[in-house]
Amino acid sequence: MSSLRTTGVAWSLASNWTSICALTPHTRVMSLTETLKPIVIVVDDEPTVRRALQMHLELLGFRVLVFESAESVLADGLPAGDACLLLDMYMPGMSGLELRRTLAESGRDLPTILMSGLDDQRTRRMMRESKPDAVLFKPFDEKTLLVAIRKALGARVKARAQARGAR
Amino acid sequence: MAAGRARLLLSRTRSAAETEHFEPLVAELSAAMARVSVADFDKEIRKWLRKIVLTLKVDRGTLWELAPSGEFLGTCWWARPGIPGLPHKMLSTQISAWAPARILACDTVVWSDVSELPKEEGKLRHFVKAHGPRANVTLPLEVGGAVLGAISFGKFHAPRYWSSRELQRLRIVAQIVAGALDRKRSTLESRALRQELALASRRSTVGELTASIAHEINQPLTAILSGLGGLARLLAGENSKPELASAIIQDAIEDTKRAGEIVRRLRNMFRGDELRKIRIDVGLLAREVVKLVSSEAMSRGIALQLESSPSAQLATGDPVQVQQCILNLLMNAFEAAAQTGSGASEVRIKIDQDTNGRIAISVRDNGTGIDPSVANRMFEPFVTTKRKGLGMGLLVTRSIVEAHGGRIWATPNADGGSTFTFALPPASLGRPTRSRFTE
Repeated sequence: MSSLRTTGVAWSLASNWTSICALTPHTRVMSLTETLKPIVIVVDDEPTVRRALQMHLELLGFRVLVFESAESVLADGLPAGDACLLLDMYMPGMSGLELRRTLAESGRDLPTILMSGLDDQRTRRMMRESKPDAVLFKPFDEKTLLVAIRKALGARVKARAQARGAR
Repeated sequence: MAAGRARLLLSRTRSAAETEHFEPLVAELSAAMARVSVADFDKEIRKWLRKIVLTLKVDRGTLWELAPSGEFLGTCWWARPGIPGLPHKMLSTQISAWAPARILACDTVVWSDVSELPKEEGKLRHFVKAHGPRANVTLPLEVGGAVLGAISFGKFHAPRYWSSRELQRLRIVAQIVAGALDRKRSTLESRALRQELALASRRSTVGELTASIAHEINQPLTAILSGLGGLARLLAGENSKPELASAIIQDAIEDTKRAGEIVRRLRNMFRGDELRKIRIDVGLLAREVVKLVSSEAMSRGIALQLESSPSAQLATGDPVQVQQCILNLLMNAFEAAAQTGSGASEVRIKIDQDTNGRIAISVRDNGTGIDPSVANRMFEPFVTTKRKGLGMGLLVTRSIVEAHGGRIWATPNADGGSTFTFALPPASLGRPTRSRFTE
């Protein structure tokens, strides 16, 4: 199966699942197809944003995990498999950037999309310095969201292929 | 004409006796005008116009105020029943420019009967004959050489002789009323100025918050956009899941309301309404301000906490201006907390009621404390330690608090940082009452 996942395939695979996708996969015993779906991990302190993104991404064919804070991500741990982080910059307590740094330090640096409702010079500079795979400024439409996710997941697949090639 | 003259002579003797009652009235008027408040000015003037009209045995008393247009507008009057009420303005120039021009030149205009009006003022004679007053005295209200208005008394259906003693007394009346009118005008002017300053300062503070308020609005917009994107996918699919679709729509409605609510709060802060004092729940107002700045606090990495009891904490005041005070203190605290030496930046807002029922709102930061170089002057204009500050925030806050009959002070915290507190008078029990302005 892993040979299937070359650049770009992860996304096209996900979109094919739209019609058969489960809306709340984690509440049921996962089928084999579901375990193969790429995972989007949404970390946002806004309940309504979490709820809408989860529903939307699931309808788009992704497996979705949601966290209300950076701290809860660290407490619960991250799933294995292909996954990307959809991470809010500004949250009470630990910020999205701090979570990214902490994960990197513990050797778990996931492909990351940083999102922010605040669009100013300072935010843009901090985003650049954190070198995420993609950035999203709220509010964003579906196309922009998918481009960012494809970029993030694709980047990881590309990095892995490069690592294999190097070996 | 002979009958008229006889009556005029008769009224001359009567007038001398009436002067006796007039003397104490002038003394009382002087005392009343010295303590009249802006809010009660019109009511008080009307009361005194009545007293003077009755004492002089005339029919109508009118206060005219000189408008910026140069016209005398009748702003206050009292008339006996059956007597024509207040004309909107003193004799239009189409009838006569003579009387207003003389008042503007600080002259008193008097006639005891229509026949005493200047021969060349035909239109005026005609007007007075038809509408009255048959006898009239109009005195300029003058302060420091500037005419602010006029006061006039008229008798409608009979001639009346005005003795020089009476005119002398009436000039004193005019002087007293002019003083009170002048005070009322300068109070209103300074109040308007303060209001303007408060609004300008509020707009600039809220302007600083634009980015973080946009952030606040972007949250529900993100949820709406994503929700509707999902709904479109759902409806395009084979299984439309009506329950899920209706849940998405319900969420979108709630989020749209939330975005609207943020815009409403923002618009409130930009409004430049007149100061209105009503019963306000300070806890509720503080919660609204906290919502307005919560994104700002988060983006600055500041933990913002509000401590207030769930029960209403009622005070008397203008809701927008009280929110402005809370906002100003919070923005200052954010600035101070950002300079904290070590550890997390913290700002805490607390609402307490003291034993006298006063509502105290305190904003505490854990910054580096008040700069000793400005400690004694921080409530003065143009004093600031901020890089981009104008130094108006605390001045405006103090002026608002004091206009509410409250007090503002600052204290250093034992464990670093400082606390700014303002206290407002409690809401009066029972029905909300209209406030008195006695500045």
